[in-house]
Amino acid sequence: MNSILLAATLLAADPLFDDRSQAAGLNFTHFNGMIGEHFFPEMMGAGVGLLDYDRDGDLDLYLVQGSLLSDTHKLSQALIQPVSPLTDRLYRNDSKAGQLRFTDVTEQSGIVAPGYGMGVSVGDVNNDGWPDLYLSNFGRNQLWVNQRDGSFQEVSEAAGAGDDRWSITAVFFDYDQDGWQDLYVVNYVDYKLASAKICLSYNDAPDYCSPQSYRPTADRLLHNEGNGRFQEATSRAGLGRAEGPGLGAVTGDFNADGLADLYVANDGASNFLWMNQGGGRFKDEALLAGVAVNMSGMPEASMGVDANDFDGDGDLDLFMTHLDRQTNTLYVNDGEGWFMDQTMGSVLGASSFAFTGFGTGWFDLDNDGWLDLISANGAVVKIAEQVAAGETLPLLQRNQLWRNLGDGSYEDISAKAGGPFERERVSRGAAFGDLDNDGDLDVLITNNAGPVELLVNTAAGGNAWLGLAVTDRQGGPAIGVQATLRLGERQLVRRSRTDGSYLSAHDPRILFGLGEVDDKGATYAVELRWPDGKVSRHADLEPGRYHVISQPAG
Amino acid sequence: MLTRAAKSLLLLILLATAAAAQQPPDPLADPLAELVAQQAASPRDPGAAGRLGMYYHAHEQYAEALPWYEHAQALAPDRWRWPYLAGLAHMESARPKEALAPLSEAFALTSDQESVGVLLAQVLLSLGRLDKADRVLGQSLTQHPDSAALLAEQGLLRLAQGRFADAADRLRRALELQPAASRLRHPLASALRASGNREGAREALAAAGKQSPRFDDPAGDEMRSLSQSYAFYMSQGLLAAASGDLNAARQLLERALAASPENPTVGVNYARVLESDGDLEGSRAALQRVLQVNPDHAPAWRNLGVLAELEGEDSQALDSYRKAVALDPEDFRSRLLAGSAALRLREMALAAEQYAEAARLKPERDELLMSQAVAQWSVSCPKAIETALKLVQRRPEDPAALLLYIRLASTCDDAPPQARSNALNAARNLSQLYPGPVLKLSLAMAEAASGAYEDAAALHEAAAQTLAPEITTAQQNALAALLARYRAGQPSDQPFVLNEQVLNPPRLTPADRR
Repeated sequence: MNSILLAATLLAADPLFDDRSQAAGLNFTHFNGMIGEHFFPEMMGAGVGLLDYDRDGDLDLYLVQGSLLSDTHKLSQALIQPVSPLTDRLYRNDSKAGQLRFTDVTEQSGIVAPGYGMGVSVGDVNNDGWPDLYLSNFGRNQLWVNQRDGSFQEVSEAAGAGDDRWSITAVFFDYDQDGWQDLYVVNYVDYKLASAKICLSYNDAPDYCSPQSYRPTADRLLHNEGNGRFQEATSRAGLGRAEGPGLGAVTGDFNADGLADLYVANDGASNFLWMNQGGGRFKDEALLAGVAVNMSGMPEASMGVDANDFDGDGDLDLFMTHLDRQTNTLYVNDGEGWFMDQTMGSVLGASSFAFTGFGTGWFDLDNDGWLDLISANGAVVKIAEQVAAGETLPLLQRNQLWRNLGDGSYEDISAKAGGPFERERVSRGAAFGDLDNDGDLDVLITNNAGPVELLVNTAAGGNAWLGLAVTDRQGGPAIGVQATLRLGERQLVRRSRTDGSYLSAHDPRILFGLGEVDDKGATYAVELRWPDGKVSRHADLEPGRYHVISQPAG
Repeated sequence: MLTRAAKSLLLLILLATAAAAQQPPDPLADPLAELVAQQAASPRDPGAAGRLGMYYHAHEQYAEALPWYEHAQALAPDRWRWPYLAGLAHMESARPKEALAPLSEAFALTSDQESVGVLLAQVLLSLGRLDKADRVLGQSLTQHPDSAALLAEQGLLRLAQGRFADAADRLRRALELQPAASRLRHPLASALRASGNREGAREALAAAGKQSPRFDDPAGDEMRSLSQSYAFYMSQGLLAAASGDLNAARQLLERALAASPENPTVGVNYARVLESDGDLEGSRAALQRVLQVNPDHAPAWRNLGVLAELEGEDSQALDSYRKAVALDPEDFRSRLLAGSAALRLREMALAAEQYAEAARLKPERDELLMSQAVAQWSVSCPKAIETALKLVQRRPEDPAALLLYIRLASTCDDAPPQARSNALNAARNLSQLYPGPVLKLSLAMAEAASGAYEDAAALHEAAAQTLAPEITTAQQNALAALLARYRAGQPSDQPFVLNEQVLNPPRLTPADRR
């Protein structure tokens, strides 16, 4: 669909997404375990992961569940009673003939994750080409290795990947280019139920605390030794002494030196930009690079984060969601890893002022080659009007959708986007993927104490697209591949990624929206930069389908 | 049809009239009732309506505040303050689009109010209306050429426009006018960096902080002063204390206490203001009041310890710090103060434990390792050497860290041979770089510990002859004792005085606390 058609769609107020959760058999509802004590973790979760765990060519879903936090209360005392089982769930994609359909296969998978779940990350820890799962919990984290027969085995302790602290999310990336995916675990604050503080709202009513009430904890870098074990590498990589209340993380080569860097979004504190120095060492350059604090010098709440090339200039920019009364922030890369906060000119600020954003991501809604934005919103302190109305979890907000106007600015089109953007929820996670393999990105939104939403993209109909399923040498999805495609004057950069957003893992495939194509026989060329630093070039790629491209031999 | 706001206003007027007819309100008991009564008695008085709006606004009840501001503006359309406050209320309730119209009206009514220009510019910038913001700032700056807040907004605007040299110029001028507005150094760094001046950016960031530029806001201040919230008074009181106005701080904290008499945080902050003002007795009484209601409030115990320390009562101070630590083991400051007091009292094991915990809580504070090592010395000198080694590994270029390691490794009877050898090598290298008496003494010690008696003695003699005034008698005696010990093959029971300043941390004084 070209821009004129999209505009026409908007004017006609046709929904841009269709919520097909129920029709597709996704009956999952998150349980937060709240009992009126305002435990901090209960309003923070939970996430969703997209992965093709059975390698049958379509995306399956992993949904993270909460549980009862207090061991002195009974389940019957929970203020919002559970609807779904109190363990994480794995759903297999059994779609046929264009009809999305998911089947709960948790029991067959062998996954038992009854802890208080936060996020899910997807990677391949043993280089067998099958996606594995890392679960970040309030409590012990879990690493589940895909057994290639539809089941998973937990290896957290044997692999040295457990962590008892409050972890929010984790990122798989090969920081030392040894061919094995390493793991960066983002930890939040030192919170214990037994010593939980009581925080008050302005009118002295009990409310949720901010992270400033607790000591931040250090993140953790685990080096994949290639023998089934991870080795603690935090200190030797130079990351050991930085503590921050981390909520989001995203990797990418921000300064185009061929090495994977890491950006960590800290809640209410300066963010980290760990620039890869080579030799397994990192250095935090966030302050000087202009991404530690916003333009005014204010540290922001920094929940969700994404890195992508929103302006088509060939480098990775950063976008972050924040608290209400702050604004979401757009950091624009100058190509050398130096950023400028251009929120003000992008119009992204004013429209986010009234919302608290979590899950987010750049994606091409209408395949016009310009990356649009979603923010999954939900407050973190009680909203007075909702308290007065007797809402049990008075943190409800609506989600937002912005259209990239192609000139560095965005237009808030939430009001025109239809049902899913009209209702209010306590949204947290957001994962992007082409669930129906039709060449546009669909969105999974998770809601705290609410049902998951499967938003199928109905806006991208007419524009051309080109998909890349980049695989490693074992045939599994390769993450951290940076693809460049020239489209007219623009040099579009996309990356194969599962990281970013909040608590969630994306479809690792790369999708280029190409806009309206007059020449029906047109083909395209892409350049791929692989995690080991090698570059491959691929020409004559036909639009309208996914091309499987394997990593060149080492 | 009546709008929701008009209905709300009508209902409030009716309620106010009814309340006023029943009995006169007690202003001390219910300031809202007084304001309602005043408005009911003078329904055409814009001030009465506006003050009612300000009261609601001060308590974050924006939906209730706005109709009163609109009513006040309708009664006095030439007054800027009501649309200004309405705009402020919209901004505080995260609605910049709605703030634009009333603020533009206020700006049209006055150009001599700094706050109106600042707020309108902020709204326009947040809405991405850069050209309009530029005009507003230009107009306001002609009235207030020395407004750091307006210059700061103009600097941010220039940054957004990509006019980096101009941005740096504006931000520098704002900082010249208000050097304390350290937050502005962040955008200044961005502007300098984008102009190619990376070194300048680094320098700006080195001094960056959290203080925003201040500006005159009489209407906003008057509104905020109506708040009965302890949080408002406490935050204002702490700001006053930070700026050195302890009298104002005391009064504001007293108002906070009146609003929330049993709030331990308010009580402790009040006690700290009294203590900073030299009123130690008043401070102690305030803390004891907190502890009567909240006996497990760790900050109150910690501050009682500070008071005892200020009065020279180290033992009493240590007791209080230990209580604070027991109640909140994660409190860095209590750990540090407990370690310092224990060290002065020569309770070395306790001091070592507290410093170790403090170092765990703030691993970036390397200097804690030095104190920890000194305290460990009397408990286990090999452990002290390990701690000193950790410090050297973190600060390999720091001569003080190396010096500590050399002295510990040279004077520990149970030091591993490798540590003594390392110390000797380090002392030789370091004395080349710093050929002063301290290093000569250290080299002598390291050589003595390694069995080179004659060299050590020679160095000692040289040091004593030529540099005697620079070496304290205690150090000379200690060195002599050390040499004698090795010559006799007998260990000494007197540990060498490593660093008097470290071993005897200075006592807090009231001036330090300020």
